[in-house]
Amino acid sequence: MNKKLFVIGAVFLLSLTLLVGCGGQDKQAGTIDYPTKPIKYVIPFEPGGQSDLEARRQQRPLEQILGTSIVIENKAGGGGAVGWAELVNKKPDGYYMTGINIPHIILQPLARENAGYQTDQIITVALFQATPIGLAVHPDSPYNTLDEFIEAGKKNPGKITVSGSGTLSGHDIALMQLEDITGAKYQYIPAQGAAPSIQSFLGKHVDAILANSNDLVQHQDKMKILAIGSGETFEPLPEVKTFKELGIDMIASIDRGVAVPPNTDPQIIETLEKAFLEIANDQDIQAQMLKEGFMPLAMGSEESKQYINEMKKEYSVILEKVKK
Amino acid sequence: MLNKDTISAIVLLAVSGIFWRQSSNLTELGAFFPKVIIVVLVALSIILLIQSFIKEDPQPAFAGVEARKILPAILGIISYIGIMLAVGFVISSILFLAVMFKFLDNSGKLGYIKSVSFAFAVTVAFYGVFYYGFKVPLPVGILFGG
Amino acid sequence: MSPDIIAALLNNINPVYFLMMALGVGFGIIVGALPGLTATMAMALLVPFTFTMEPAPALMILGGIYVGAMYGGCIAAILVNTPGTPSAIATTFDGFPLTKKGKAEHALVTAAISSGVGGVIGAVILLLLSPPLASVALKFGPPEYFWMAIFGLTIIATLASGSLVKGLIGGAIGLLLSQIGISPIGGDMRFTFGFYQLQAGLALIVVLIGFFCIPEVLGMVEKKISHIDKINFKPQKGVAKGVILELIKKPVLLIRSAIIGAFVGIVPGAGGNIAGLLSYNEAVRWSKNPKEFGTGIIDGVAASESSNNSEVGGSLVPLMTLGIPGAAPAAILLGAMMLQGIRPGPELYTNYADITYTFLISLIIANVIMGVFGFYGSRHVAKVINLPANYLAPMIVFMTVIGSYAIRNNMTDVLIMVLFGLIGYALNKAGFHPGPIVLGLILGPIAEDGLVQSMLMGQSAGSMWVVFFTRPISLILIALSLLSAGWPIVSSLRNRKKEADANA
Repeated sequence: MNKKLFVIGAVFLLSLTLLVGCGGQDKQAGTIDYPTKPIKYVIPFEPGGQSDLEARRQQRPLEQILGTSIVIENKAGGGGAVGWAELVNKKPDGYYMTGINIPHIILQPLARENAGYQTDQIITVALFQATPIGLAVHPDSPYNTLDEFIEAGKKNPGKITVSGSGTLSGHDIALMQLEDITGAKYQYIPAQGAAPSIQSFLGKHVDAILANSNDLVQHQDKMKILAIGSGETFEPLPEVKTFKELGIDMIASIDRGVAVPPNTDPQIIETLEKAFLEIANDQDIQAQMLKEGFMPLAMGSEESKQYINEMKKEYSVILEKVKK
Repeated sequence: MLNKDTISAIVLLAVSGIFWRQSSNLTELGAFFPKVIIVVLVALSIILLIQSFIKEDPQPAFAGVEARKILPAILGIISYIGIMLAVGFVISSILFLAVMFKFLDNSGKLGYIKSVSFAFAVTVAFYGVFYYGFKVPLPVGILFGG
Repeated sequence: MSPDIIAALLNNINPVYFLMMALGVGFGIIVGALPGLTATMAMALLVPFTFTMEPAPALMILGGIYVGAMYGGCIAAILVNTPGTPSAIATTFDGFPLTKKGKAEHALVTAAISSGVGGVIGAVILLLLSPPLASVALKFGPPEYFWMAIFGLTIIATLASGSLVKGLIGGAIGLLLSQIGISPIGGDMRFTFGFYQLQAGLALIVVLIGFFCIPEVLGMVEKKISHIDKINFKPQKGVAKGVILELIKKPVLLIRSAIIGAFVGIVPGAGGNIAGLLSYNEAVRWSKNPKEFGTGIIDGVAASESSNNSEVGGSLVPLMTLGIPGAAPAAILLGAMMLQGIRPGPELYTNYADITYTFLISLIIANVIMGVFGFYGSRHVAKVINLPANYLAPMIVFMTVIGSYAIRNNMTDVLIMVLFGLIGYALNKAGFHPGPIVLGLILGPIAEDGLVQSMLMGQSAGSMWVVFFTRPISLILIALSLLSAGWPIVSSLRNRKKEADANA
């Protein structure tokens, strides 16, 4: 279908150049006129969530760069799976894109019998925002350092309760990773979403929490943050050490980006990639993100693909171990 | 003939059975709550079954219902959705509304042209309001690339 | 009065701000009245526009939509028995019977006034009592949520008109339906029967539209001469005055409902639907003539509407003081604040006091505007019901299709809506009412989350007993559940005694 379109387009342009008599310098053969109509930007989560708000922040600048209107549509359900299952079955014409979250798109196909999609069917255009996952305890908690927390988890396995959002989610897998590396054991209490998890923690119904960086920034005066899962020091929380700095070799983060259906024309991906990266590299937007507790990212299509593949390998190993 | 409560109880027991089978391959934590509910549902259904034998049911379920009216209406709704899946919201809605306006008209005064044009106006108006006002693009159907 | 509050009042008199808020309220009412369109969605649509606005008017217009939408839900509930938003479920119980009696305007005016009064009470509670109430909200942990859901389920006794067994079965069916989708703990795909679409679970509003609306439409057309032909609405004089006089005599009803609503709102995750149902239940329980409920009396409408509108104020308590959004629309407000560079929490009342108080006072005013809109609109809106059944019935089906699609932009939801509509029709005929089923559907996830999380906590603490039966709020909720479940027995005993006395 697309090859045909490509050939027809090429033939058309070729005859056009022949007719005009001189090669158009700015238009190469095979260029697709894109975009010419509104683009749907689907968010597979409820309105008001982090993914949704990021999309709404991008909406206006995207419209300016791409010169067409962007229609945001929420298709929530199944922790995003319903939206992604729909994405991979859509026509790859560049007018339908969906926000994606890592590790969700990796973990769901691994853990569920039929999530409705496979990770490699999702063609990432760009990754533009991340929330490193941090581990925190109450201000009056007996544990003051990550080491003390790990020691306690070894001495009394399963006695310390840790709140997080969702089962087989980024938080769940981060705790599995921590347990796997250190040999400590905790009791994970999954809440339905970030807000209930924070509530459970602030109400002291659990001993510790795994939370996204924006929530940590927002509630930092009501907790002791022991470590954070970013690769380097996380700018909005400069005093907090990373897991790596504390000798635990793990990265824990929720990364957000956007993707198109499989078999989308590389030119379309390039156009979208450029637009998203331009916004991601915007100084004002980056400053705004940091203030809110997000880590700005600007990863292109190829780079994102490699990153996702690496993470997939890592997670498969952990899940295998847990199943045994 | 069986009365409506007996039938309800039997159907509910069958449904409980299906759900129970489905919950057999779940993890322990995932299956706990559904199994509790199914047990309660089975117990209540058995009570209903016993009651239905003891008490006479005063009224059959579909007393006073005109089959000639209700069956086409149900069929109409189902085909509406079927047609929508194929050709999308606008065409299926105009069709459904026009046919139903006419079918349900007891007076027999409503003409075809009037019913079609009213159906057209309603559909287009709502499509416009939802598309432009609420940014909800209604389905376009499989045939048109939905 | 502190200077902040005076400045805030002045801001609210600013005509531009006021106009925007009024527009927000109007937009919200329309959105709320259309089943499937939610306050959350309407607010999300406006978020990109609020970037460029000042923080205060941005919050005011979003708050206006929230307030308007909460009221708007009653319109469809009263006129066509379909809750426009889940919060209006309890409004259908007496609102639609009133319409059937030709008293649609009575119901709508009652809803407007009760919503306004309830909304103002909720907003005042938010303004004055936030910090102490927020600390109560935090005391709700998994065991409390579990017991709260159990307490909620005891309402079935009230909702099950006729057979208690059938009511309980309805509740169990609802609970079972709520289990479809990804399990909250364990992550299993439950009861999806091979359809990946079902991993999202059933959307409440989709099932609501199916259960409440389709059977009603089929009921309109099932008879040779449809009953709706006979129940047209004739505008009468003095309806509004009569309703107001009647409502003034019932301050306890309005205030009690509003307090229940605000309190339910404070608990994150418990929404206007639960608030409306609980206060309807209490209205029945405290009434001298409980048998009249469900036949079309304004008390039922007043209880539900006063409560679900005061819930708005309550739901903002955890947001304003703790930065935890207790409901989906509150999450949008949080997002809008963050994008404006404001961090909710104690700072709101210090660094951003001007904005905060402007917003809080605007909520009170928004409720008044909403009441006025509703009050004057009632008569005109009620005329919708005068459309002949051959127009009305197909158009309601048409609306249900749009509504169930719009909620998640998903065709699967339309199929589910129609399927449950037909099941609901059959269940209705078999004597099962939708009330207990949707109650089960609403409370199922709350109960399961609470139960399984508490069990995990118990495992870690080494004792289930300590987790479930020793926490103070849990104990209160257990006591309330026992009282509520035992009440029908007590009252029937009391009635029997009365009759015996009368006979003696």
